[in-house]
Amino acid sequence: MSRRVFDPTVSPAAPVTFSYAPRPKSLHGLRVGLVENTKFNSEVILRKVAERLAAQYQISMTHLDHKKSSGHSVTPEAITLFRQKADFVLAGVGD
Amino acid sequence: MSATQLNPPSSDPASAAEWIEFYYQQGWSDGLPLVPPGEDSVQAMLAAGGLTGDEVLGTIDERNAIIPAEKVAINAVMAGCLPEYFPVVLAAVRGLCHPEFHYHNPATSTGGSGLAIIVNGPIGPALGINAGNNVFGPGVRANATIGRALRLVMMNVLNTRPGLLDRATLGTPAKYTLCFAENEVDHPWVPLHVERGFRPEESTVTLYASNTLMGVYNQLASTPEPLLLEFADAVCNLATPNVYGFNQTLIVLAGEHAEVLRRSGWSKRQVQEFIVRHARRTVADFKRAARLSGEIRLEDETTWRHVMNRAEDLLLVCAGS
Repeated sequence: MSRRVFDPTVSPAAPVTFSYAPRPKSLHGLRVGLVENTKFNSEVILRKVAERLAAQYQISMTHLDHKKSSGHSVTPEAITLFRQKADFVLAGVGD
Repeated sequence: MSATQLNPPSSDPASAAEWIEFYYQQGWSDGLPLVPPGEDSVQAMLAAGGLTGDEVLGTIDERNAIIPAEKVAINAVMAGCLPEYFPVVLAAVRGLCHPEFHYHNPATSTGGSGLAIIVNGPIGPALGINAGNNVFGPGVRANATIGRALRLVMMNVLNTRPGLLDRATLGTPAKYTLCFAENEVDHPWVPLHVERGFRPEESTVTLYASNTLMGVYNQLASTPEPLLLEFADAVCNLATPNVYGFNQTLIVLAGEHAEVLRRSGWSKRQVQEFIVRHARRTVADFKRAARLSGEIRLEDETTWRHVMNRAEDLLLVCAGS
């Protein structure tokens, strides 16, 4: 007598497709936003990188977003602000 | 040698063992034998939840994942649940999907969490969910299988498998199962669900991501202060993940400890505020253990860091004996 096998798993959903934003031809004079994720040293590392970008390319840090936790997504409100205030965004982990 | 006369089910035990082995081979197990599901058992599970199987119970957006009802029923059968447990399993699964729970962190973090299912209200005693002696120990089917079902759903439906999307460095035995009911009899205050706005006669499930379990031993305290100082000390140990000060802490008060607090007349809020106030270490302590970076300055010895910011971040429940 045959018996049905009940598969407890779910096949992965179709991957979400996305495309990268066009890369700037030059970094000189751009505005950078930072996403701090609450991990130890995340903000320290990001600010240090921003300082070096400022020294090397005259890039200004225009917006810093603090995520609720490292696992949380960046909020839509923060994305809107980044779109308004920054030309590119850096996100880091650091521990 | 004597033998007790038993009346086992008529199905062939050898065949059952083969089925269990087959399910092992598919990689669907948590390491323990699974109950092979059948048409009847899956349907009975769904019926107990008032479901047909086609429903989507929730989604985890960060995982691009959906949770179909039928898959939860299959995993619940495999875990060994009785159909009447299924409403609790469903509530826990829906809790996983709640945006405020934020599944990704406790499921994936290197810290590794067991997910505690805290059951309140009349469904706890009705299902025989242990709220008393050995509450975190083995031996009670409801506790063991409801928690196990949730973990199997995480592994099989949400792909939260060790080494893949579960990146815990050590993990915890609580990942096999962690489900208990609050002991609402002789409670010093109102139980957790009433504190959170539900009526006593309503049944609820609270899901709590628990990094680890730590016993607090104190058989001599007969007044609140010494007992609560020990709890405060336990939750601010140097190994705590709560250095950041934004986490919640769950304290489960066993019988004697609950009784000390009940007799004292302290309110739950008083107890919470006392522990939150005393659960602190100096910045110097954390720096000495490299839990905070930087050189130790003189003022660090007298600068305090609390591991919780608000009284409501401390969950107090009663269980155990």
